[in-house]
Amino acid sequence: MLLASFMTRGETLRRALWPQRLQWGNYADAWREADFGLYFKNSLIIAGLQVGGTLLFSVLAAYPLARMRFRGRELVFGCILATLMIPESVTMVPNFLTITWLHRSTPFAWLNSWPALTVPFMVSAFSIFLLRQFMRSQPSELWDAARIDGAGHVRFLFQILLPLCRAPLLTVGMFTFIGSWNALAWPLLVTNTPDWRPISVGLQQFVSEAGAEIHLQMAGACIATMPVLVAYFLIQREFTEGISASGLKG
Amino acid sequence: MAFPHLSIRLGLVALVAVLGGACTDSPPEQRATPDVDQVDPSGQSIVFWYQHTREREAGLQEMIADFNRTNEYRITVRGEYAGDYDNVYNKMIVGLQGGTVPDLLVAYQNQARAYYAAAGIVPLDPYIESARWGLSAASRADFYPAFLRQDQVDGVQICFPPNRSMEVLYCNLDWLAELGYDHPPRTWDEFAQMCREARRRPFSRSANKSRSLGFLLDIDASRLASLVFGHGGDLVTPAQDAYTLDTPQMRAALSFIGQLVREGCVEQLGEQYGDQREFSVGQVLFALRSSSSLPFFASAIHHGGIGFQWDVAPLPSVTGTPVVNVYGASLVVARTTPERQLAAWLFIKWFTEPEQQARWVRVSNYFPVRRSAAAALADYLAENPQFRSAYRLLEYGHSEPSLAGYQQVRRMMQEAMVGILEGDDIDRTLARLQRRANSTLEDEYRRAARAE
Repeated sequence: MLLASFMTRGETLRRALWPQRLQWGNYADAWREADFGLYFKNSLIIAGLQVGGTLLFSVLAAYPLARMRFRGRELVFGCILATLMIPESVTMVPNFLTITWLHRSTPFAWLNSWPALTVPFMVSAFSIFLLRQFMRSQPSELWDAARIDGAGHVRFLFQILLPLCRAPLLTVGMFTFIGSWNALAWPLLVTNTPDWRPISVGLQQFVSEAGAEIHLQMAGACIATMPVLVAYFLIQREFTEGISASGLKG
Repeated sequence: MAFPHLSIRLGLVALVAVLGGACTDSPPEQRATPDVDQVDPSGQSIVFWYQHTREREAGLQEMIADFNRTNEYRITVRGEYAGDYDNVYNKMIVGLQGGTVPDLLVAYQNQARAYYAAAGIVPLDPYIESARWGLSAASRADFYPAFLRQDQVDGVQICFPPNRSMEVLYCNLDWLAELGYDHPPRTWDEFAQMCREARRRPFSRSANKSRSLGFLLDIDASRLASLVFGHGGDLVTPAQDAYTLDTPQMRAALSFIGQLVREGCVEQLGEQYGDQREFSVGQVLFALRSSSSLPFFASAIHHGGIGFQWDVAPLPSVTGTPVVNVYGASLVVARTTPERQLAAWLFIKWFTEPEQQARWVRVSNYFPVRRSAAAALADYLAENPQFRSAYRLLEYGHSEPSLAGYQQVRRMMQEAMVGILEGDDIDRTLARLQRRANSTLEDEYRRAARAE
């Protein structure tokens, strides 16, 4: 993908292994032709809101499931896990109907706005599961010590437990970021103008019904992939740790 | 978490299943269209969903701006890119459930039929026939009748063609000359012979002489339909009440191409637009693609490829008369208000006027739907010989089924195609395909019967 993004069109057609001269202009062309500046900004906002929301709700849901005792706790957790078996595409229609209803019934504009693009995906069963597993693995002596010092659940969660959850939090953030960055069908469904659309829509511009310009498509794909790669490189140690600690490793 | 790109197609299947259920439970309601002559469209703002990108989108937006500026009723059209055809369909089907539909949108005939069954679009006959807003008899006669027929269901015009394209065989004429031919293949035997020779004798200017093929077969229902048409068959009965997928013609088409695959002179296409790429660098003698790909082929051959003489031709036909697969998305008018519906129709009417058609042809390279557009395209036809070659084939057009479940059947056809090319028993596979395809029709009949 990287090599093809620096090739001339002829080189991509001939399947050259290496570009004779690096075509930096492909990046400028791709950026300009697909209005990547706007889409890039939108994607960053959408991903930022979604990551923030997912972390907040996942932490608040995972904590009681991991550390508090109440009747029906396992049943609630089982129900949350069961939702993992529902394909996300099946939830598209109900989600859309909910958003449409909110759009009509509340004073806020839900369609063609950030909430429609982010709110339906702020609760993730997988993220709750991941954080709950990690929180459960923390020694109960921490909680006992906090209680002796007069801390309640909120203080214990935010001041003691969360700083220890850095790795799973970054892992959840990374998964959410990737999911949000790659989203295409949902943003197309709830938005009508480029003003709200993410980078995946920009990338789609290079694949028409009649032909493709591979060099521009690859340059666009590199631009779109870059933030995900950068984010991964920055947190790869914590990411691996988070996966391992949750017991998801193979 | 959001929807990963790869799951979109699976999602569509699930979505169609869910909505299929929804359609079953709520019978379609075809409300009466009011007397359109009495409706006043003045000052309406309407939304148009399309699938075009880049140059085509820019050209379309310019045309929309011109319409907005010049129409005497101060109608304002707002054109919105809604993704590719699947995305538009997805958006409309979900929008029908949520009550958020546009006024005008692109749709393939089978998609339009699904919208129509769900009472989401209005029949266009009252608008076409309206004394005040409709088309004159001369105008109607100017449209290619086959294109209008393609967009009808039981005689009702449910959509309207803004353009068309067709499947044509792209031929490397220089390579054919090296092989001793001065014409594209006229018979299937000649096509097979050319493919075999192309395998043996690579093109002298090929970028990679170790790879030389006659043809790359795209596993796609439209490609299969073209092969079947060329073998004298069809995919449905003339009344479109049953699929005809287990026929001697279908068997002949698949056996023919299967034999060439076994001989190694035809391969299955492994990457999107791979045939376009390999054709442009002289590694494949023929490519079967939509005529709307003409500018992409021209650009690939002359601005990146190796440059050679090429042309387009119809696939061979056992009857001696060419049969080309003509298709294209049409425009449908969503059920909104009488004023908005009329405004949408007036835009369609304007867009299909000969001068606008000629303009759209130059932007999109699609074919016009009116004969009189040719007069305004004389210079364009002269400058684009391959487009002219394809344009001459319009009268030999034949179309694929316009049945609501055809999208599902297309997937079944593709599965059968792969299976047979990979060695499945052809008789059993086609019998199963026929059974499964007709079961989609039975589902449709059951829904219609319940509705009645």
